Amino acid sequence: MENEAEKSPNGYEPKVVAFACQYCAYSAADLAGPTGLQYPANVRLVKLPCTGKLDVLYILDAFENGADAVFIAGCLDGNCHHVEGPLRAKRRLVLANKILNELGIGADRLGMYQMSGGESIRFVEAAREMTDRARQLGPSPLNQRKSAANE
Amino acid sequence: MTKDVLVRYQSEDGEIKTEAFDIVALSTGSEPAAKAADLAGRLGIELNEWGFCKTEKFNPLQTTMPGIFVCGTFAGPKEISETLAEAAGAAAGALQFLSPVAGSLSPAPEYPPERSVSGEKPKVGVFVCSCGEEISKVVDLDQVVSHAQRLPDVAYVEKVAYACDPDTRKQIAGKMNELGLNRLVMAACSPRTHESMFQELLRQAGLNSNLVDIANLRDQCAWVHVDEPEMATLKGKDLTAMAVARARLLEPIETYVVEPKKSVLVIGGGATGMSSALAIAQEGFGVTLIEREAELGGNLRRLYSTAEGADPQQFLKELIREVESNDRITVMLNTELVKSTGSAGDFRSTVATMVAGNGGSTETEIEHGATVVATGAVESRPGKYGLGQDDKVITQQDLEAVIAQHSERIKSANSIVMIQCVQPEDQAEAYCSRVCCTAAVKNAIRIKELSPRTDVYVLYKDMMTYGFREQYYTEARRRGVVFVRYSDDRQPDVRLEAGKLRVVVEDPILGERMALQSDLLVLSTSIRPAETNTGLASVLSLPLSREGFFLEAHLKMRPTDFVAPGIFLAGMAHYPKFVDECLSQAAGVAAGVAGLLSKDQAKFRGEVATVDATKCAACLTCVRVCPFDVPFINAEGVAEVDPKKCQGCGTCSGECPAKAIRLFNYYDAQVLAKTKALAGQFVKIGEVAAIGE
Repeated sequence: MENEAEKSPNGYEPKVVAFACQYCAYSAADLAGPTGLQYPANVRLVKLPCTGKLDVLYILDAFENGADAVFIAGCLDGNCHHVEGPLRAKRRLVLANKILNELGIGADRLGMYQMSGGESIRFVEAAREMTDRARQLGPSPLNQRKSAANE
Repeated sequence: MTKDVLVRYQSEDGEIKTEAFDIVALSTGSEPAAKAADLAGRLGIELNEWGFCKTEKFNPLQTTMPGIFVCGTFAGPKEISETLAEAAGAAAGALQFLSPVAGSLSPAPEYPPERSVSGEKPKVGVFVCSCGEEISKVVDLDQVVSHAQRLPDVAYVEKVAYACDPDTRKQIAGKMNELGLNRLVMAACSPRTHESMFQELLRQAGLNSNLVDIANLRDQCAWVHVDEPEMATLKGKDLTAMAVARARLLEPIETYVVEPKKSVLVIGGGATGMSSALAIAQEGFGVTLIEREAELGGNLRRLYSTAEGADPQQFLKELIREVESNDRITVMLNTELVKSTGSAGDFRSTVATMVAGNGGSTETEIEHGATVVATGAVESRPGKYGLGQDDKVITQQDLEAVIAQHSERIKSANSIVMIQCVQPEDQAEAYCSRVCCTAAVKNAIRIKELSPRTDVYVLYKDMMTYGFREQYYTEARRRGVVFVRYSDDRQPDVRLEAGKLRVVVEDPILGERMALQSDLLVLSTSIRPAETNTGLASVLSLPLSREGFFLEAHLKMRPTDFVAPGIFLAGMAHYPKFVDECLSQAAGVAAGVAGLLSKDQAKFRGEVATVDATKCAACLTCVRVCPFDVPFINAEGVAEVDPKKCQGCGTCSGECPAKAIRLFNYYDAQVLAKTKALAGQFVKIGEVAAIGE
């Protein structure tokens, strides 16, 4: 199956994957439209029940499958439906950052944002920031390697 | 001839302008339905002077005929979410008469027996919804359809106009049956709002409710990428592929049956909390009503009149008497919620009651089936225009008390000035507090009634006395109240000169500065969310809006619900409201509670963690990390999770070093299916076990 995004009309269009908690960030993303906000179409959300469920494997797999940037979007500290999901996610991010640096992908392609379910503006800022960062950094090294192999 | 519409109008500075437009849309206002009078005649109910259904301020859903309730725009122009809260409230009104037999005539929905899909190869049906044109005007759905047709195990793809329409759902269920489809993908709106609807569709199709994934093409694609149709279409294809990838791996879910606790915790003892407590008690359920302050009443204690003329203090006295004398209601004053666990039908909360004198508190544990958040809001007291420094500067709520208790202050005043829309400096979000324009107009009329010679000036940005309240604005003007506009960039200036207040305002219509001597300056200040909202939101794990009010499940369609089942919302905890609006919502909450608790069995989906005993090393990580203390080491020496207690967060599964715990619906393979689909990778069914499950 071909990767459709590579045929994007504007040349390089980064793919950004967001792992979003269903209680806060997923809801904040849903509310962006009704509150009159827009964000880059580069972002694809994967819903999690809580950022406490986040696995380093998910992040690495997203990069392996073409993501140029990944971000985790969870609840505010102290307002997690499951008490301390974002704290656990942040701890797992330390390990993920280390692995990404070792692999040469770079930890700056990974971000973590926290917001309440009503803060669509915070989600939109996160989506814009990570998309801009992926644009500045260029395609992920894994994607560069893949396109080199295809040529 | 361009056939443009030419509009001639006068601008604010008096200039006559003519402009050409392609389309002119008229907001024509609403009037009673043509046959309203006819219907009212047949029912024997009275209409008000505008031909809408007549109601009373403190009984907003009751017509003039006992036993007949009213809801929606038949009783006056209003917003969608208000009509829905009222609809639920009217249903609760009817339930009061029916509580002994409630539920006895409503059969459980009948579904065909559930067909087992185990051993079947996935056969996915993809239904692509245009949501009218909401999705299709941005995302090219033909491309999404043809993309979906090429995805593995997709056996059928169809475009529909409104997947939420009952007939369409029936047709989709029929198609699933006819073609023997065993997985459903809806490329439509948000699972947050519509997942349960599509789960129910699967039951209609004789399948387990869990075999659906939703690609959020509306809320997270079409609505937020309006200017990028090509990129949005690419994303739409990706999201659909991601949903198909996970749907292939979905398993049937087990449901667990819980007998709901027939009692309710109501948080907040103001008018909203008390009236919802009463309505719930009248349905036959027990209520614990907790109030943070030392007495019941909340904001209503400080309201001495209403624009409509009804007496709030009389109403409050009666309401408190009814609540206190109701056997099913336990009132706990000086009490706050400190902890709450469990789920719909089975909550366990701890409340702390301040003990007078020693500053300590006693804790009480309460078991309840539902929770009502009715914690109200507060009038802010910003240090603007001399408020808090000079006793001639007061708030609109202070003025209520002055008029009611110290009318001599009004009578001796030559001039009273009110300033509308006074927002605290630190208020991050500008919003309308909705009730202050009417309060100002009402109090201006009261002042004129007490002392016709007193000049009253209302400095405003935009008077909003909507609905029937407009009559009081007219009445105030008739009595000589002077309304002067000000703009944000030219805010009024207040000085204290020789013990007198001098207010200077620039009238944008006259283009001149007016200096007003004032004996009393009244500020209509913002109504702010209660300071306790943040703490309470955290204890109950509920979302707050950007402004700090509680955020309902859906801005239009679910005004009294939270996304978390079993927790309900009413009154000014939601946003600033009039008393009658609070009472309608309080009644609506009672209907929601009855819907949940009147059943003998509440069913819960087992989206829970399970332990693979063969992998568990009994390391106690899960026991340690679970935020709800659910996992334990069982007699066989391995970890075990009680599905009825598990909250489904997956923390244990994320932490388990042996990967012995998996969370239903979020198996690693199911989550990874989504990221792999981004690159067009789809695991072969049967190879799932190979990716670390």
